[in-house]
Amino acid sequence: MSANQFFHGYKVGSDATAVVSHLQFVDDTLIIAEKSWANDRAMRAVLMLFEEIFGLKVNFTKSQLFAVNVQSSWLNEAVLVLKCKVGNLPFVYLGLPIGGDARRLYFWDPLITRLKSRLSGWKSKHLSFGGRLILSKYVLSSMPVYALSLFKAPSGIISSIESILNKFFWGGNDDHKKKKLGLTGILFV
Amino acid sequence: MVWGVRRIREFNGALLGKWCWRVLVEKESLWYRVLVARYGEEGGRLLDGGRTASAWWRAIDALRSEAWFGTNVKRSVGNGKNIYFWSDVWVGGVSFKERFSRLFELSVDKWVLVFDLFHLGCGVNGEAWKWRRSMFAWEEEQLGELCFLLQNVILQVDKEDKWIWKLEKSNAYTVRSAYTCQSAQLPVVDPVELKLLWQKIVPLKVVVFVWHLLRNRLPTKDNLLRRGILHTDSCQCIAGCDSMKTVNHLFLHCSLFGTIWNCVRCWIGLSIAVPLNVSDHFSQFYFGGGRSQVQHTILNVVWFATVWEIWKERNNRIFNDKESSVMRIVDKIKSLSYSWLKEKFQISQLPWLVA
Repeated sequence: MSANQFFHGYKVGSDATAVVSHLQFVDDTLIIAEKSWANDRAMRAVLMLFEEIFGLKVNFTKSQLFAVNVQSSWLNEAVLVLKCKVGNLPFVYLGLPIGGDARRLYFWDPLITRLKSRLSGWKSKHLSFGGRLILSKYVLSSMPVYALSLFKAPSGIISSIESILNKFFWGGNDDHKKKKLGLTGILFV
Repeated sequence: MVWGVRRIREFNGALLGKWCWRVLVEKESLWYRVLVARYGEEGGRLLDGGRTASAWWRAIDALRSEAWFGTNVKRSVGNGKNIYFWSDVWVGGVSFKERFSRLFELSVDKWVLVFDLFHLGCGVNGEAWKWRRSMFAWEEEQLGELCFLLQNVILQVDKEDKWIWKLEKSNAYTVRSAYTCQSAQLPVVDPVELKLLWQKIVPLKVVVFVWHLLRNRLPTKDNLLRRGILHTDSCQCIAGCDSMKTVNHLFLHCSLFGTIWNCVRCWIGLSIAVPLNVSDHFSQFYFGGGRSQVQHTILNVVWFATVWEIWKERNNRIFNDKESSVMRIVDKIKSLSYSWLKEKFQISQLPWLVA
Protein backbone atom coordinates (compact mmCIF):
# COMPACT_ATOMS: atom_id res chain seq x y z
CA MET A 1 0.00 0.00 0.00
CA SER A 2 2.79 2.38 0.89
CA ALA A 3 4.67 1.62 -2.30
CA ASN A 4 1.63 2.41 -4.44
CA GLN A 5 1.10 5.73 -2.69
CA PHE A 6 -2.23 4.70 -1.19
CA PHE A 7 -0.92 5.17 2.28
CA HIS A 8 1.50 7.80 3.56
CA GLY A 9 3.41 6.93 6.71
CA TYR A 10 4.71 9.54 9.10
CA LYS A 11 7.79 11.34 7.81
CA VAL A 12 10.32 12.03 10.53
CA GLY A 13 12.37 15.22 10.51
CA SER A 14 12.33 18.18 8.18
CA ASP A 15 13.73 16.49 5.07
CA ALA A 16 11.75 13.27 5.57
CA THR A 17 14.62 10.79 5.22
CA ALA A 18 12.91 8.23 7.43
CA VAL A 19 9.31 7.19 6.98
CA VAL A 20 7.60 5.12 9.65
CA SER A 21 4.26 3.61 8.70
CA HIS A 22 3.79 0.87 11.26
CA LEU A 23 5.41 -0.87 14.21
CA GLN A 24 4.53 -4.44 15.08
CA PHE A 25 5.56 -6.62 17.93
CA VAL A 26 3.77 -9.89 18.68
CA ASP A 27 0.20 -8.80 19.33
CA ASP A 28 0.59 -5.04 19.47
CA THR A 29 0.39 -3.10 16.24
CA LEU A 30 0.91 0.60 15.90
CA ILE A 31 0.07 2.31 12.62
CA ILE A 32 1.44 5.80 12.22
CA ALA A 33 0.31 8.12 9.47
CA GLU A 34 -0.18 11.71 8.51
CA LYS A 35 -3.55 13.30 8.89
CA SER A 36 -5.55 12.77 5.70
CA TRP A 37 -8.80 11.17 4.63
CA ALA A 38 -6.96 8.99 2.16
CA ASN A 39 -4.86 7.51 4.96
CA ASP A 40 -7.92 6.99 7.11
CA ARG A 41 -9.69 5.00 4.40
CA ALA A 42 -6.53 3.14 3.40
CA MET A 43 -6.08 2.00 6.99
CA ARG A 44 -9.61 0.66 7.09
CA ALA A 45 -9.11 -1.04 3.73
CA VAL A 46 -5.84 -2.68 4.80
CA LEU A 47 -7.40 -4.07 7.94
CA MET A 48 -10.42 -5.39 6.08
CA LEU A 49 -8.17 -7.03 3.48
CA PHE A 50 -6.18 -8.57 6.33
CA GLU A 51 -9.40 -10.08 7.67
CA GLU A 52 -10.25 -11.51 4.27
CA ILE A 53 -6.81 -12.93 3.52
CA PHE A 54 -5.97 -14.49 6.89
CA GLY A 55 -9.43 -15.24 8.13
CA LEU A 56 -8.62 -13.46 11.40
CA LYS A 57 -10.97 -10.86 12.80
CA VAL A 58 -9.76 -7.41 13.76
CA ASN A 59 -11.67 -6.18 16.76
CA PHE A 60 -12.26 -2.57 15.81
CA THR A 61 -13.94 -1.71 19.09
CA LYS A 62 -10.76 -2.60 20.89
CA SER A 63 -8.63 -0.48 18.58
CA GLN A 64 -7.99 3.15 19.31
CA LEU A 65 -7.18 6.18 17.23
CA PHE A 66 -4.88 8.80 18.71
CA ALA A 67 -4.26 12.28 17.44
CA VAL A 68 -1.19 14.44 17.84
CA ASN A 69 -1.75 18.10 16.93
CA VAL A 70 -5.04 17.29 15.20
CA GLN A 71 -8.40 18.91 15.92
CA SER A 72 -10.76 16.71 17.89
CA SER A 73 -13.65 17.33 15.45
CA TRP A 74 -11.63 15.79 12.64
CA LEU A 75 -10.63 12.92 14.88
CA ASN A 76 -14.26 12.15 15.73
CA GLU A 77 -15.19 11.90 12.07
CA ALA A 78 -12.15 9.75 11.28
CA VAL A 79 -13.16 7.41 14.07
CA LEU A 80 -16.56 6.92 12.43
CA VAL A 81 -14.89 5.73 9.24
CA LEU A 82 -12.58 3.34 11.06
CA LYS A 83 -15.30 2.21 13.50
CA CYS A 84 -12.86 2.30 16.40
CA LYS A 85 -12.56 4.33 19.59
CA VAL A 86 -10.94 7.67 20.37
CA GLY A 87 -7.88 7.25 22.58
CA ASN A 88 -6.16 9.69 24.84
CA LEU A 89 -2.43 10.19 25.29
CA PRO A 90 -0.52 8.72 27.02
CA PHE A 91 -1.44 5.20 25.95
CA VAL A 92 0.26 1.93 26.68
CA TYR A 93 2.21 0.22 23.90
CA LEU A 94 4.16 -2.93 24.80
CA GLY A 95 3.59 -2.21 28.44
CA LEU A 96 5.12 1.24 28.44
CA PRO A 97 3.25 4.53 28.41
CA ILE A 98 3.71 6.42 25.16
CA GLY A 99 3.34 10.15 24.92
CA GLY A 100 3.71 10.96 28.61
CA ASP A 101 6.43 13.00 30.22
CA ALA A 102 8.83 10.83 32.20
CA ARG A 103 10.06 13.85 34.13
CA ARG A 104 6.71 14.23 35.85
CA LEU A 105 6.04 12.29 39.00
CA TYR A 106 2.50 11.22 38.05
CA PHE A 107 3.95 9.44 35.02
CA TRP A 108 5.39 6.88 37.42
CA ASP A 109 2.26 6.42 39.51
CA PRO A 110 1.26 3.03 38.04
CA LEU A 111 4.71 1.65 38.77
CA ILE A 112 4.71 2.93 42.34
CA THR A 113 1.25 1.50 42.93
CA ARG A 114 2.33 -1.91 41.70
CA LEU A 115 5.42 -1.83 43.91
CA LYS A 116 3.32 -0.86 46.91
CA SER A 117 0.83 -3.64 46.37
CA ARG A 118 3.63 -6.16 46.00
CA LEU A 119 5.43 -4.97 49.11
CA SER A 120 2.42 -4.37 51.28
CA GLY A 121 2.56 -4.10 55.04
CA TRP A 122 0.83 -7.37 55.88
CA LYS A 123 3.45 -9.30 53.96
CA SER A 124 6.17 -7.51 55.84
CA LYS A 125 4.61 -8.58 59.12
CA HIS A 126 4.47 -12.26 58.26
CA LEU A 127 7.85 -12.73 56.67
CA SER A 128 11.24 -13.32 58.21
CA PHE A 129 14.15 -10.93 57.83
CA GLY A 130 15.63 -13.02 55.04
CA GLY A 131 12.27 -13.44 53.35
CA ARG A 132 11.75 -9.70 53.31
CA LEU A 133 15.20 -9.19 51.85
CA ILE A 134 14.58 -11.74 49.11
CA LEU A 135 11.17 -10.30 48.30
CA SER A 136 12.41 -6.73 48.08
CA LYS A 137 15.39 -7.80 45.98
CA TYR A 138 13.21 -9.77 43.63
CA VAL A 139 10.70 -6.97 43.28
CA LEU A 140 13.44 -4.47 42.63
CA SER A 141 15.24 -6.63 40.14
CA SER A 142 12.16 -7.26 38.05
CA MET A 143 9.31 -4.83 38.38
CA PRO A 144 10.71 -1.41 37.58
CA VAL A 145 13.42 -2.64 35.21
CA TYR A 146 11.37 -2.43 32.05
CA ALA A 147 10.33 1.14 32.68
CA LEU A 148 13.81 2.10 33.83
CA SER A 149 15.38 0.71 30.68
CA LEU A 150 13.66 3.33 28.59
CA PHE A 151 12.98 6.29 30.85
CA LYS A 152 15.23 8.19 33.18
CA ALA A 153 13.59 8.23 36.57
CA PRO A 154 13.47 11.57 38.36
CA SER A 155 15.22 11.56 41.71
CA GLY A 156 11.91 11.97 43.52
CA ILE A 157 10.81 8.62 42.13
CA ILE A 158 14.09 6.95 42.97
CA SER A 159 13.87 8.08 46.57
CA SER A 160 10.24 7.05 46.87
CA ILE A 161 11.01 3.57 45.53
CA GLU A 162 13.82 3.34 48.03
CA SER A 163 11.60 4.49 50.84
CA ILE A 164 8.94 1.89 49.97
CA LEU A 165 11.63 -0.77 50.10
CA ASN A 166 13.09 0.48 53.36
CA LYS A 167 9.71 0.65 55.00
CA PHE A 168 8.91 -2.83 53.87
CA PHE A 169 12.26 -4.17 54.93
CA TRP A 170 12.29 -2.68 58.40
CA GLY A 171 8.61 -3.33 58.96
CA GLY A 172 5.85 -0.87 59.61
CA ASN A 173 3.68 1.00 57.18
CA ASP A 174 2.69 4.54 56.49
CA ASP A 175 0.70 5.30 59.63
CA HIS A 176 2.84 3.39 62.05
CA LYS A 177 6.52 4.20 61.96
CA LYS A 178 8.79 1.70 63.56
CA LYS A 179 12.09 2.82 64.90
CA LYS A 180 14.80 1.96 62.45
CA LEU A 181 18.47 1.39 62.94
CA GLY A 182 20.56 4.50 62.69
CA LEU A 183 21.32 4.06 59.03
CA THR A 184 18.78 3.07 56.46
CA GLY A 185 21.76 2.91 54.15
CA ILE A 186 22.99 -0.37 55.56
CA LEU A 187 20.40 -2.09 53.45
CA PHE A 188 22.58 -1.18 50.51
CA VAL A 189 25.89 -2.17 52.02
CA MET B 1 31.58 -6.88 43.38
CA VAL B 2 28.30 -5.38 44.40
CA TRP B 3 26.11 -6.96 47.01
CA GLY B 4 22.70 -6.35 48.32
CA VAL B 5 19.68 -4.60 47.02
CA ARG B 6 20.05 -2.75 43.75
CA ARG B 7 20.81 0.93 43.70
CA ILE B 8 18.09 2.28 41.49
CA ARG B 9 19.81 5.40 40.24
CA GLU B 10 22.90 3.55 39.03
CA PHE B 11 20.84 0.72 37.63
CA ASN B 12 18.72 3.17 35.70
CA GLY B 13 21.89 4.75 34.33
CA ALA B 14 23.28 1.39 33.29
CA LEU B 15 20.06 0.41 31.52
CA LEU B 16 19.90 3.71 29.69
CA GLY B 17 23.58 3.34 28.81
CA LYS B 18 22.49 0.54 26.54
CA TRP B 19 20.81 3.14 24.38
CA CYS B 20 24.01 5.16 24.20
CA TRP B 21 25.79 2.01 23.13
CA ARG B 22 23.18 1.31 20.47
CA VAL B 23 23.58 4.82 19.15
CA LEU B 24 27.20 3.93 18.45
CA VAL B 25 26.76 0.40 17.19
CA GLU B 26 23.38 -0.16 15.56
CA LYS B 27 23.56 2.39 12.81
CA GLU B 28 21.43 0.35 10.42
CA SER B 29 18.43 0.02 12.68
CA LEU B 30 15.14 1.77 12.06
CA TRP B 31 15.13 3.78 15.21
CA TYR B 32 18.62 5.07 14.56
CA ARG B 33 17.51 6.27 11.15
CA VAL B 34 14.52 7.92 12.82
CA LEU B 35 16.84 9.70 15.24
CA VAL B 36 19.08 10.85 12.41
CA ALA B 37 16.09 12.19 10.51
CA ARG B 38 14.84 13.99 13.57
CA TYR B 39 18.04 15.41 15.06
CA GLY B 40 20.70 15.14 12.37
CA GLU B 41 24.12 13.60 12.42
CA GLU B 42 27.54 15.19 12.27
CA GLY B 43 30.75 13.26 12.02
CA GLY B 44 29.06 9.96 12.82
CA ARG B 45 27.60 11.37 16.00
CA LEU B 46 23.97 12.26 16.55
CA LEU B 47 23.36 15.92 17.34
CA ASP B 48 21.76 16.89 20.62
CA GLY B 49 18.78 18.52 18.93
CA GLY B 50 18.86 21.64 21.06
CA ARG B 51 15.87 22.83 23.02
CA THR B 52 13.26 21.19 20.85
CA ALA B 53 14.58 17.68 21.46
CA SER B 54 12.37 15.25 23.30
CA ALA B 55 12.96 14.68 27.00
CA TRP B 56 13.98 11.11 26.27
CA TRP B 57 16.66 12.07 23.81
CA ARG B 58 18.00 14.79 26.09
CA ALA B 59 18.38 12.26 28.89
CA ILE B 60 20.28 9.87 26.60
CA ASP B 61 22.40 12.69 25.24
CA ALA B 62 23.38 13.80 28.72
CA LEU B 63 24.22 10.23 29.65
CA ARG B 64 26.58 9.54 26.77
CA SER B 65 28.82 12.43 27.78
CA GLU B 66 29.05 11.21 31.37
CA ALA B 67 32.47 10.07 32.48
CA TRP B 68 31.66 6.44 33.21
CA PHE B 69 30.38 5.92 29.70
CA GLY B 70 32.90 8.02 27.81
CA THR B 71 35.96 6.49 29.43
CA ASN B 72 34.83 2.93 28.85
CA VAL B 73 34.10 3.03 25.14
CA LYS B 74 37.01 2.82 22.76
CA ARG B 75 37.49 2.78 19.02
CA SER B 76 39.07 -0.23 17.47
CA VAL B 77 40.58 0.75 14.15
CA GLY B 78 39.91 -1.55 11.22
CA ASN B 79 39.95 -0.08 7.76
CA GLY B 80 39.28 3.43 9.00
CA LYS B 81 36.30 4.02 6.76
CA ASN B 82 34.02 5.00 9.61
CA ILE B 83 36.44 7.03 11.68
CA TYR B 84 36.76 10.75 11.38
CA PHE B 85 40.42 11.65 11.72
CA TRP B 86 40.09 14.80 13.80
CA SER B 87 36.98 14.45 15.89
CA ASP B 88 36.95 10.76 16.87
CA VAL B 89 39.02 9.36 19.67
CA TRP B 90 41.01 6.60 18.02
CA VAL B 91 44.66 6.95 19.04
CA GLY B 92 45.37 7.62 22.68
CA GLY B 93 42.78 8.97 25.08
CA VAL B 94 41.90 12.27 23.35
CA SER B 95 40.84 13.25 19.88
CA PHE B 96 43.38 14.89 17.59
CA LYS B 97 41.05 17.85 17.43
CA GLU B 98 41.78 18.60 21.07
CA ARG B 99 45.34 17.37 21.16
CA PHE B 100 46.54 19.28 18.09
CA SER B 101 43.98 22.05 18.10
CA ARG B 102 46.13 24.40 16.00
CA LEU B 103 46.64 21.81 13.27
CA PHE B 104 42.91 21.14 13.28
CA GLU B 105 42.17 24.80 12.78
CA LEU B 106 44.62 24.97 9.91
CA SER B 107 43.40 21.87 8.11
CA VAL B 108 41.15 22.34 5.09
CA ASP B 109 39.09 19.18 5.37
CA LYS B 110 37.81 18.93 8.93
CA TRP B 111 35.79 15.77 8.30
CA VAL B 112 38.44 13.69 6.60
CA LEU B 113 38.20 9.95 7.20
CA VAL B 114 41.14 8.00 8.53
CA PHE B 115 40.95 5.71 5.51
CA ASP B 116 41.22 8.54 2.99
CA LEU B 117 44.03 10.16 4.88
CA PHE B 118 46.10 7.00 4.97
CA HIS B 119 45.29 6.31 1.37
CA LEU B 120 46.82 9.61 0.31
CA GLY B 121 49.87 9.13 2.49
CA CYS B 122 50.40 10.88 5.74
CA GLY B 123 54.12 11.31 6.19
CA VAL B 124 55.38 14.77 7.11
CA ASN B 125 55.29 15.80 3.46
CA GLY B 126 52.40 13.51 2.58
CA GLU B 127 49.68 14.30 0.08
CA ALA B 128 47.01 14.01 2.73
CA TRP B 129 47.77 17.22 4.55
CA LYS B 130 46.12 20.27 3.11
CA TRP B 131 46.58 23.43 5.11
CA ARG B 132 45.02 26.83 4.73
CA ARG B 133 48.40 28.52 4.85
CA SER B 134 52.06 27.62 5.18
CA MET B 135 53.08 26.61 8.66
CA PHE B 136 55.24 28.19 11.34
CA ALA B 137 58.13 26.31 12.80
CA TRP B 138 56.35 25.24 15.96
CA GLU B 139 53.39 24.05 13.97
CA GLU B 140 55.75 21.96 11.85
CA GLU B 141 56.99 20.46 15.09
CA GLN B 142 53.45 19.54 16.07
CA LEU B 143 52.90 17.93 12.71
CA GLY B 144 56.07 15.92 13.22
CA GLU B 145 54.75 14.73 16.55
CA LEU B 146 51.42 13.79 14.97
CA CYS B 147 53.12 11.86 12.18
CA PHE B 148 55.24 10.05 14.71
CA LEU B 149 52.06 8.88 16.43
CA LEU B 150 50.60 7.76 13.14
CA GLN B 151 53.65 5.65 12.27
CA ASN B 152 52.50 2.99 14.68
CA VAL B 153 49.02 2.75 13.22
CA ILE B 154 48.42 0.12 10.59
CA LEU B 155 45.02 -0.10 8.96
CA GLN B 156 43.55 -3.54 8.38
CA VAL B 157 41.78 -3.40 5.09
CA ASP B 158 39.51 -6.39 5.57
CA LYS B 159 38.26 -5.41 9.01
CA GLU B 160 35.48 -3.02 9.89
CA ASP B 161 35.93 -0.34 12.50
CA LYS B 162 34.37 -1.33 15.77
CA TRP B 163 33.42 0.10 19.09
CA ILE B 164 34.76 -1.61 22.17
CA TRP B 165 33.25 -1.65 25.62
CA LYS B 166 36.31 -1.98 27.79
CA LEU B 167 34.66 -3.61 30.77
CA GLU B 168 33.63 -6.80 29.03
CA LYS B 169 35.82 -9.40 27.42
CA SER B 170 33.32 -9.79 24.61
CA ASN B 171 33.74 -6.06 23.86
CA ALA B 172 29.98 -5.58 23.89
CA TYR B 173 28.07 -3.44 26.33
CA THR B 174 26.40 -5.22 29.21
CA VAL B 175 24.17 -3.63 31.77
CA ARG B 176 25.82 -5.66 34.51
CA SER B 177 29.31 -4.31 33.82
CA ALA B 178 28.04 -0.74 33.54
CA TYR B 179 26.16 -1.10 36.80
CA THR B 180 29.17 -2.54 38.61
CA CYS B 181 31.36 0.22 37.24
CA GLN B 182 29.01 2.94 38.45
CA SER B 183 28.45 1.37 41.83
CA ALA B 184 32.19 1.00 42.38
CA GLN B 185 32.56 4.76 42.35
CA LEU B 186 30.25 5.08 45.31
CA PRO B 187 31.68 4.99 48.81
CA VAL B 188 31.55 1.38 49.87
CA VAL B 189 32.26 0.10 53.32
CA ASP B 190 35.71 -1.37 53.45
CA PRO B 191 35.40 -5.08 54.25
CA VAL B 192 38.70 -5.07 56.17
CA GLU B 193 37.38 -2.33 58.36
CA LEU B 194 34.19 -4.28 58.99
CA LYS B 195 36.14 -7.32 60.10
CA LEU B 196 38.11 -5.25 62.58
CA LEU B 197 35.04 -3.50 63.80
CA TRP B 198 32.88 -6.32 65.04
CA GLN B 199 34.98 -7.40 68.00
CA LYS B 200 33.67 -9.95 70.42
CA ILE B 201 35.78 -8.72 73.31
CA VAL B 202 34.35 -5.25 73.36
CA PRO B 203 30.77 -4.68 74.58
CA LEU B 204 28.22 -4.34 71.82
CA LYS B 205 27.21 -0.79 72.72
CA VAL B 206 30.80 0.33 72.24
CA VAL B 207 31.04 -1.42 68.89
CA VAL B 208 27.84 0.19 67.72
CA PHE B 209 29.18 3.53 68.89
CA VAL B 210 32.39 3.05 66.89
CA TRP B 211 30.34 1.97 63.90
CA HIS B 212 28.47 5.25 64.07
CA LEU B 213 31.75 7.06 64.53
CA LEU B 214 33.38 5.56 61.45
CA ARG B 215 30.33 6.41 59.37
CA ASN B 216 30.28 9.93 60.81
CA ARG B 217 26.78 9.48 62.19
CA LEU B 218 27.42 10.55 65.78
CA PRO B 219 25.49 13.53 67.07
CA THR B 220 28.51 15.81 67.09
CA LYS B 221 27.85 19.48 66.76
CA ASP B 222 28.52 19.75 63.07
CA ASN B 223 26.19 16.85 62.37
CA LEU B 224 23.51 18.39 64.56
CA LEU B 225 23.95 21.62 62.66
CA ARG B 226 23.50 19.79 59.39
CA ARG B 227 20.34 18.16 60.65
CA GLY B 228 19.03 21.59 61.59
CA ILE B 229 19.03 21.08 65.35
CA LEU B 230 21.71 23.55 66.40
CA HIS B 231 22.59 27.03 65.22
CA THR B 232 25.93 28.09 63.87
CA ASP B 233 26.86 30.15 66.92
CA SER B 234 26.82 27.16 69.28
CA CYS B 235 29.22 24.99 67.37
CA GLN B 236 32.43 25.58 69.28
CA CYS B 237 34.42 22.68 70.60
CA ILE B 238 33.75 21.89 74.23
CA ALA B 239 37.44 21.99 75.14
CA GLY B 240 37.55 25.67 74.25
CA CYS B 241 39.32 25.62 70.90
CA ASP B 242 37.94 27.91 68.27
CA SER B 243 37.52 25.38 65.52
CA MET B 244 34.31 23.71 64.51
CA LYS B 245 33.61 20.48 66.27
CA THR B 246 33.67 17.79 63.65
CA VAL B 247 34.25 14.14 64.38
CA ASN B 248 37.83 14.35 63.20
CA HIS B 249 38.50 17.37 65.34
CA LEU B 250 36.88 15.95 68.44
CA PHE B 251 38.54 12.57 68.32
CA LEU B 252 41.95 13.41 66.88
CA HIS B 253 43.00 17.01 66.60
CA CYS B 254 41.43 18.82 69.51
CA SER B 255 44.04 20.29 71.86
CA LEU B 256 42.55 18.51 74.85
CA PHE B 257 41.63 15.14 73.40
CA GLY B 258 44.66 15.08 71.15
CA THR B 259 46.87 14.96 74.25
CA ILE B 260 44.99 11.89 75.39
CA TRP B 261 46.13 10.14 72.26
CA ASN B 262 49.69 11.21 72.97
CA CYS B 263 49.52 9.70 76.44
CA VAL B 264 48.00 6.50 75.08
CA ARG B 265 50.69 6.21 72.48
CA CYS B 266 53.42 6.74 75.07
CA TRP B 267 51.83 4.11 77.25
CA ILE B 268 51.75 1.41 74.61
CA GLY B 269 54.99 2.53 73.01
CA LEU B 270 53.63 3.34 69.57
CA SER B 271 54.90 6.24 67.54
CA ILE B 272 52.81 7.17 64.54
CA ALA B 273 51.76 10.41 62.94
CA VAL B 274 48.14 11.42 63.34
CA PRO B 275 46.23 11.04 60.08
CA LEU B 276 43.53 13.43 59.02
CA ASN B 277 40.45 11.36 59.57
CA VAL B 278 39.15 8.86 62.06
CA SER B 279 38.86 5.79 59.87
CA ASP B 280 42.48 6.15 58.69
CA HIS B 281 43.51 6.47 62.29
CA PHE B 282 41.53 3.35 63.11
CA SER B 283 43.22 1.15 60.55
CA GLN B 284 46.63 2.73 61.12
CA PHE B 285 46.41 2.04 64.79
CA TYR B 286 45.56 -1.54 64.04
CA PHE B 287 48.30 -2.24 61.55
CA GLY B 288 50.94 0.15 62.84
CA GLY B 289 51.49 -1.46 66.18
CA GLY B 290 52.79 -4.96 66.02
CA ARG B 291 53.29 -8.03 64.01
CA SER B 292 51.25 -10.71 65.69
CA GLN B 293 47.52 -11.17 65.68
CA VAL B 294 47.45 -10.77 69.44
CA GLN B 295 49.10 -7.40 69.29
CA HIS B 296 46.74 -6.29 66.58
CA THR B 297 43.73 -7.22 68.63
CA ILE B 298 45.06 -5.57 71.75
CA LEU B 299 45.73 -2.30 69.96
CA ASN B 300 42.32 -2.47 68.41
CA VAL B 301 40.71 -2.84 71.80
CA VAL B 302 42.75 0.05 73.19
CA TRP B 303 41.53 2.18 70.33
CA PHE B 304 37.94 1.29 71.14
CA ALA B 305 38.49 2.14 74.79
CA THR B 306 40.07 5.47 73.97
CA VAL B 307 37.35 6.75 71.67
CA TRP B 308 34.70 5.49 74.07
CA GLU B 309 36.27 7.38 76.96
CA ILE B 310 36.68 10.51 74.87
CA TRP B 311 33.02 10.39 73.94
CA LYS B 312 31.99 9.86 77.55
CA GLU B 313 34.17 12.72 78.71
CA ARG B 314 32.74 14.98 76.04
CA ASN B 315 29.20 14.10 77.13
CA ASN B 316 30.07 14.63 80.79
CA ARG B 317 31.44 18.06 80.03
CA ILE B 318 28.47 19.14 77.98
CA PHE B 319 25.57 17.65 79.91
CA ASN B 320 26.81 17.10 83.47
CA ASP B 321 29.27 19.95 83.81
CA LYS B 322 31.90 17.56 85.11
CA GLU B 323 35.50 17.72 84.02
CA SER B 324 38.22 15.14 84.37
CA SER B 325 41.91 15.78 83.87
CA VAL B 326 43.80 14.16 81.02
CA MET B 327 45.66 11.83 83.38
CA ARG B 328 42.40 10.71 84.90
CA ILE B 329 40.95 9.89 81.49
CA VAL B 330 44.05 7.96 80.49
CA ASP B 331 43.80 5.95 83.69
CA LYS B 332 40.20 5.15 82.86
CA ILE B 333 41.24 4.03 79.40
CA LYS B 334 43.88 1.74 80.89
CA SER B 335 41.52 0.09 83.32
CA LEU B 336 38.76 -0.21 80.75
CA SER B 337 40.92 -1.87 78.13
CA TYR B 338 42.37 -4.14 80.81
CA SER B 339 38.93 -5.26 81.92
CA TRP B 340 37.96 -6.02 78.33
CA LEU B 341 41.18 -7.80 77.47
CA LYS B 342 41.50 -9.95 80.55
CA GLU B 343 38.58 -12.09 79.39
CA LYS B 344 40.52 -13.37 76.45
CA PHE B 345 44.22 -13.02 77.23
CA GLN B 346 46.50 -14.12 80.06
CA ILE B 347 48.06 -11.40 82.13
CA SER B 348 51.47 -12.65 81.00
CA GLN B 349 50.60 -11.64 77.48
CA LEU B 350 49.95 -8.10 78.55
CA PRO B 351 52.91 -6.99 80.62
CA TRP B 352 52.85 -3.42 79.36
CA LEU B 353 49.23 -3.05 80.34
CA VAL B 354 49.80 -3.54 84.01
CA ALA B 355 52.90 -1.42 84.15
